[in-house]
Amino acid sequence: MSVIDDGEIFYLSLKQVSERIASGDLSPVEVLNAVIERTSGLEPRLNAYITPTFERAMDDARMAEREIAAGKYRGPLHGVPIGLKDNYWTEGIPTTAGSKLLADFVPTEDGNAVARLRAAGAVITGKLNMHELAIGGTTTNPHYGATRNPWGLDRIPGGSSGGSAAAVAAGFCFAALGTDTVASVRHPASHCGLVGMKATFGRVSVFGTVPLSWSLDHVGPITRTVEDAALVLNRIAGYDPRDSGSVDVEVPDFTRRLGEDLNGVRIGLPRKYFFEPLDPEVRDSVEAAIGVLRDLGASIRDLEFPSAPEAHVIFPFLSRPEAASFQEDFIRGRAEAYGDVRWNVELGELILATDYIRAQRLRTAMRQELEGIMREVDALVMPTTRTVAHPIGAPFTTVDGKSLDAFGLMVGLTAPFSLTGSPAISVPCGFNSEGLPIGLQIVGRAWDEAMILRIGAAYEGATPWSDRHPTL
Amino acid sequence: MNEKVSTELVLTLAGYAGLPLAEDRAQALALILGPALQNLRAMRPEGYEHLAPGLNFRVPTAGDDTPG
Repeated sequence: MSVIDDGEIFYLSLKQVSERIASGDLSPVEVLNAVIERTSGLEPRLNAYITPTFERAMDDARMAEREIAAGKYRGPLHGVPIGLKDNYWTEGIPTTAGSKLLADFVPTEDGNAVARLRAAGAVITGKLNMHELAIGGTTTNPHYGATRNPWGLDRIPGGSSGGSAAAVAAGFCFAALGTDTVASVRHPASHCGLVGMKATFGRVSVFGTVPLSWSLDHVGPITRTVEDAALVLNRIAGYDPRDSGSVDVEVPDFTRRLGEDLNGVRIGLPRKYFFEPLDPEVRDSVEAAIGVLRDLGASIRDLEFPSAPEAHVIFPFLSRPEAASFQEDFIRGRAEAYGDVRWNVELGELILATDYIRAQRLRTAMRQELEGIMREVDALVMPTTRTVAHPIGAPFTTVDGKSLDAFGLMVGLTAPFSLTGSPAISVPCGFNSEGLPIGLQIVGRAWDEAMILRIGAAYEGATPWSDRHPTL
Repeated sequence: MNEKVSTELVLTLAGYAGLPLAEDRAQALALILGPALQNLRAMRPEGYEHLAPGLNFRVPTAGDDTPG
C-alpha cells in the first residue's frame, strides 16, 4: 500500500481536490486529465467501467473551468469527477444495470441524484460495473466481466456496486454513487477500504435508478473520507415527489457535526449474532476500533438486537417479488438473456402475496424493535462484513470454521438496517495480514445521519486508514 | 401451514403465473423455496396480529405529482 504524495492528484480526497479547484490551484480540466490518464492505464486490469463517458466529461470540465473563472462557483462538487453505478438513468447514455436485458436502454432524462450532481457542477466520468441487476455481491458480471479489487486483483470488490468502489479506490474518480438494497454500498466500500453510506430510507430519492426492490432500495455515496460522503449527501438528499418512498423532511448540512468529539455519545455493541462468527482478523480490527471510540470519549455498552438474524430470511420475500414485478416481461420473454441471477426472479414469481405481506409485517416488527433499542443509545457499531474480500470465483462457505450461505455471509450484517431503513455507514477500520481492507459499520437513529457521520469522522481522524491507497 | 414444496407444485405455481419453467429449473427452485418458506412462516413475534406491513401508499396533496 502507499500513502499519497503531491503528484497523485487522483488520490486526493474530494474535499481536498474541491478546495484546490476553488482556489484556482487546480483546474477541472487538469483534474479530469489526471483521472483519465490514471483510468486508461489501469482499467484493463480492474474492469471498473461498463461505459466511460470521458468525452462528455471533458466538455463538462471545460464548462466548469469557464464558470469558476467567471466567478460562478457552484460549491464543493463543482468540477469534481464523480462516477455512477450503471443503474442510474443518464440522459443519452446507456444504462444497463449490468444486464444484457437493458443493453439498449438509453434514458431520456437523468435520474434524480444524477440531475442533482450535475446541477452541483460535478463532472460525470461514466457508468460503472455492477453485479447483474444488483442481485448479488461479487460484481463478477457474466456480461461485462468481473471487476477486480484494487487491493488484491484476484479478489472481488464486493457488490453490487463493485465498480463504483473499485473506481474510487483506484483513483478513477473522487466519489461514486452506488445503490444499496441490503448491502450494496456498504459491502463494496468495506471490501475496498472506503466509506460507503446509505441515509435513512426516503432521505434520498431513488427516482431514476433501475429498481431492484422498491421498498428496500437506497441511493448512497462511496468516497475516500467521511467528510466526502457528507458533501455528496448534501447535494443528493431532499424530497422528491416522483419517489413514493421519499419523505418531505428538512435536510440539514451533513457536515455540520463533523469535528465534534465523542464525549457523551452512547454506542451500543450487539455482539450476539453480529460478532458470531467473524474472521479472527476482522474481529481484531473491529475490537481495536471499539477501543478507539472509547478513547475518543464514547461510552460503549453491550446490547442485543434479537430479531436481526431474521433479516436474511425476510428480505428475499420482499426483494424477489418486487424484482419479479419490475422484470415481469424480461423473465417471460427474454429469460435466456439473464446470467446467473435468473433463479432469483423466477422465485419471486412463485411467492404468494400473503407471504410478501407477512415479510413486510415482520419488517415492521424489526423496525419497532430497533426503535426501542435506539432510545438507549445514539448509534450501534459492528463489522460491516464477516470476512475480507473473497477470491473471485471462490465459493462462500465458512467463516471461522462455521458454515454460512452466501446471503448470510455477504449481507447478514447489513440487511437488518436495510429492512429498518436506518442510516448506516461503513468506514475503513484496518487491514488483514494480506493487506485486504476491513470495514466498521455505524448505524444511527432514523433521520440522524449527522450522528453516524460525526462518529465516523472522529474515528477516521484518530486512525490512519483513509490515508492509505492500493499500490497498482 | 405445510411448506412442503414439490417440483409439481412449483410447476403449478409457474403455470398460474404464466411463467415458462422447465422441470429441472422447477426442481431446483423447489429445493430453495421450501426451507425458505418454512423459516418465514415460523416467525410470529409478539403482537404480530397487530402489525401493519411496511408498505408505502400516499395520497398526493395539492401540487404533489407523486405517482405513489
